[in-house]
Amino acid sequence: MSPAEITVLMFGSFFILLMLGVPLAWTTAALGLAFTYFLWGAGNLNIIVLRIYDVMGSFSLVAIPLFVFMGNILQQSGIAEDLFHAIHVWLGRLKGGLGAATIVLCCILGAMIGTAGADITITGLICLPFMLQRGYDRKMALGAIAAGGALGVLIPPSIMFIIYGVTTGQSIGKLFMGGVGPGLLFGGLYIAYILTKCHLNPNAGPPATEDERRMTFRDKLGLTRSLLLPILLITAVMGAIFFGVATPGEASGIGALGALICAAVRKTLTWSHLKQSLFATMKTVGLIMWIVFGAMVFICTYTLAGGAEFVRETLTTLPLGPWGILILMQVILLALGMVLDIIGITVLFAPMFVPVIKELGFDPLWFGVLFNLNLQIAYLSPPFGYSLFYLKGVAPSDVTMTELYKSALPFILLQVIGMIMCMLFPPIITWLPSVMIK
Amino acid sequence: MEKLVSAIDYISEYQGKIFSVLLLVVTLQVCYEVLRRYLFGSPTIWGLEFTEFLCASMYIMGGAYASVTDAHIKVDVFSSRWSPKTRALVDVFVTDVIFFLFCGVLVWQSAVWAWEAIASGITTGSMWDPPVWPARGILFLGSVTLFLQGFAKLVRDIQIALGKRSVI
Repeated sequence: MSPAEITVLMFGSFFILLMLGVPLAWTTAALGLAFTYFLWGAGNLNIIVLRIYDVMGSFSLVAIPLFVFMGNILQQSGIAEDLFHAIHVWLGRLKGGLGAATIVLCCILGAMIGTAGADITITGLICLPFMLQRGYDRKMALGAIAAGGALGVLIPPSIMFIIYGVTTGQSIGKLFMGGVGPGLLFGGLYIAYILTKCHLNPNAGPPATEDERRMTFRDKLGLTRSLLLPILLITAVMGAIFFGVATPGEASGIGALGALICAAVRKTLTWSHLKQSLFATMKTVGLIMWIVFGAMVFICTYTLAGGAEFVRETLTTLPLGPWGILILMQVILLALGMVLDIIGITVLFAPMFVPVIKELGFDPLWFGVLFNLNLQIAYLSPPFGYSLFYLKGVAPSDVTMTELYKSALPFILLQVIGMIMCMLFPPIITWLPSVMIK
Repeated sequence: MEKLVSAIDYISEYQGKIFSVLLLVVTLQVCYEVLRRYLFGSPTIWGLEFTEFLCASMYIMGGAYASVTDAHIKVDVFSSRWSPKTRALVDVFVTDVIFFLFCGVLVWQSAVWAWEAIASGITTGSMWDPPVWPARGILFLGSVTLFLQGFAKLVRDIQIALGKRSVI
């Protein structure tokens, strides 16, 4: 079989099975094995244990369970509520201040929690009722949470960058730092949009009343004290990676221990919280890693069958010029992101795209962050915007999917603007990693 | 049959919860390692591999744990519109077939592989040089629990398809 035929057969059956509702992990693993069997016989079926064993022995991946654990512990300690309260007091006087506070909260949560889904669930539960009560424009409120939560993909520690780094051999620490610039840029764009919109139309986001913002000095002090430790913790974790003191794997262990200490200091480290954090982490880790296992088997078979080489050749010989090919790859990623889970996309497509990028002469680190920018947009876009599904789960019951799609649209536009800025001005991405101490 | 299916659920659930405790061990171990490296300038020779092994056990055993609550990521935009019966039928003839295809091969291959390690007593060849059978054994154990969980799902899907089980 020629690589072209294998591509059509493998990816064709892949998408059909996915649409029938077969879990991503089983689909990729089974297809990888089936094609291995047909191409090279039963003697090569040990590909599955070999691939899984590779993943099992990666020290970088240790950061995934530990960062997820850190996020779960911090989340259980009720820090998000306190944070929102504090930011609200600070930004409440502005028209649309509550919306801006939501985005700021999302950015900080993104630095504590590695997965975007958890981000959206928390902010949806805390900020949405608050905004709706104050008579905020419903679409803007929903869109702000979905878009803000998706920032978790970009702001370190992001699980996506760990997986991208492991599958492509890029430095995870540098990818982490590369995500900071775009994360802040996107957050800034969202806030600017919300404030402008509310300034032009104050009904969309009325400011908080004087009463709501008034707080006694003692309350302020207490709030500051309870927030100080967690903020110090995430600064320390990121600082350790930035200054080259610890690898992401080591930093994640310190972060998890620090989160436990923070929770203990806040007197929220109860047995039931600890149990819930452990179990939730185990579940998340199980589902993430089996997607990685399956996708590894699939892509290994595909590569051995000449598929990756075929993709590289096809892409690089297109008469589009380097930028045209880059944009084409991004369009492919956006399209894939509409149907596929973003972890699956990373393991399946990053190893195919990175050689093309290197051949075209682009900076692979820059592309790594760009790759995740695309996935972040896909996370928000219909018809399968995962962040919208997470939000639907915690929104009032009369919020329909259609309303969510409409509310995401202005934010998708902002994301596209942000991405174009990152393409035109690469230092937005590459500056921080370049000053990082290696 | 009903008893068997709930027993499998119970096993998947509890093994996941038990293995999740390893997170605490890994957290402390990574910190201990960093401490030793910075304060005493002498990292342990077993730390890195041991951490990897503990985490790997969680990845592997997490498979069945995520299955028991149906947490594995899938595209359900279409299937969520089908009646429970249609979905069960598609699952019996497609999803479960795909699952057993992959998981069957995994159980078989990991058994061969783990046995090979036990029989020959091979070690990892690192400085610490532990035997490889625990890691390979975990892979086999995890494959078996995942397989059993898939079997429980198949039984339920057949019951739903035949109208013998109501869907909540």
